[in-house]
Amino acid sequence: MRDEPSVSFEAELRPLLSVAMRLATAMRLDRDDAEDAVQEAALRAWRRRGNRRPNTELRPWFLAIVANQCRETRRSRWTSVLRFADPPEAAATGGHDAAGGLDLTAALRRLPHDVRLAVVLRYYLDLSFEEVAATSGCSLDAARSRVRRGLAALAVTFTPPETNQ
Amino acid sequence: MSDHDIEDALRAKLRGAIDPRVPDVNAERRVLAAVADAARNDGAHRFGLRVGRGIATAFAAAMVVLVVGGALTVSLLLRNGSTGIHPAPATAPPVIAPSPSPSPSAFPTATPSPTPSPIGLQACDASVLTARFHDQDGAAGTAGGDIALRNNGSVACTLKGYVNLQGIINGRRMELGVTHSAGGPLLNNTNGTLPKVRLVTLQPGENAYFAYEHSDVINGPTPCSATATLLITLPQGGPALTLTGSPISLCGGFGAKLWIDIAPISSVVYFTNGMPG
Repeated sequence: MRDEPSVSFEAELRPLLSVAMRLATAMRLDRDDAEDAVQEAALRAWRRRGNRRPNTELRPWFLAIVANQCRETRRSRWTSVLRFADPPEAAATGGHDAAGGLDLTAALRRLPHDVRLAVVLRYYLDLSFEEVAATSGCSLDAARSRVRRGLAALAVTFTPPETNQ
Repeated sequence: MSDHDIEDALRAKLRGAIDPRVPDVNAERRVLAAVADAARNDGAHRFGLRVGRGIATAFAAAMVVLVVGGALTVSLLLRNGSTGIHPAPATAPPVIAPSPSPSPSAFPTATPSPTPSPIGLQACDASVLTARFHDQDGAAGTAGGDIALRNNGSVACTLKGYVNLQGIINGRRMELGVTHSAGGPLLNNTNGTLPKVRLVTLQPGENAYFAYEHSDVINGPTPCSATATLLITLPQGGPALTLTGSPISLCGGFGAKLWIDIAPISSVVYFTNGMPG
């Protein structure tokens, strides 16, 4: 029979998994890597649950673990050598949007981890700057600065053609 | 464009680029199952600690009995002039290990991984597993299927990675030219993604699967061989499981005479459900 702490931990964790998967996917840009990162982060969170300060929200604490896991995850040699470039649905979208998506993901890959994390948290997960700072483990000013840098770097990938001429 | 417009455009672009790649709810279920496994394992460790303390108490009591009893025994022996002590016979279970291969393969072989899994369970031992053909499929020139590995033990264990395969051909044990998802049409083209090595937890009575694929048409001057017996060595090594009953023709491919392509061990069937994510 399962003990109470694990049941309550899973109940607390369950609603966060969707956003954790989205965060990990945006950071790793690979479905399998994302699932692996979230699974490892969940196990870490379980093992370190005693380190969580009382009255601390699980969401930023867990998302920070996910973000750290994404940074540490290194693609295995097998998948790095032989994997296909993109999942089929990415190619299936076709047309300008697909090309734009590829440009954007390529631009995301070029961003430093901390900047990419801030951009993803702010603009993909729609978190407040306070939550961005809490998840990133930095000050509010640093979070704002990272978001600004990321926005400037990515803006060129979707700026309308007329502003580029 | 204003900053607000740029932010909105970025939001839309991020959703369009990333949302299609996000794992589905089954991935979330797998994560929760992994946490539940870890929690169960933690519980087992705590139980073990309590038992350990009990054993320590019993051991201390036994030592007192042995010391006192030993003193009395020595006293009696000195009186009678005989030891009367008979050592217990040492027993060890027989182990069948794979014999050296007569044709060592340059292809990847199983990588030993003796360390416990991240969630604390031990790797499945061959002695608690049985292998059977689960399903079979075929395409032009190739055939394949899933082989199920069932945990017949009483505790959960884990499997991760690729098995190694040998076959009995003309009465000789032969190393097969095993490739790992090297490009066979059945294993790789179902949904365009390569299978991924994952840690699989096998509860008692549960199955894990690995897919295999081989060529069943002659590719060159070398005639095909066939094996009616597969010897399956688990990723961590050890004794091999024996699987018979469905002859596999081996006609070569990828530079190997006895080519067979396999996918990593998975918790779900490959050929019925398509490639696991």
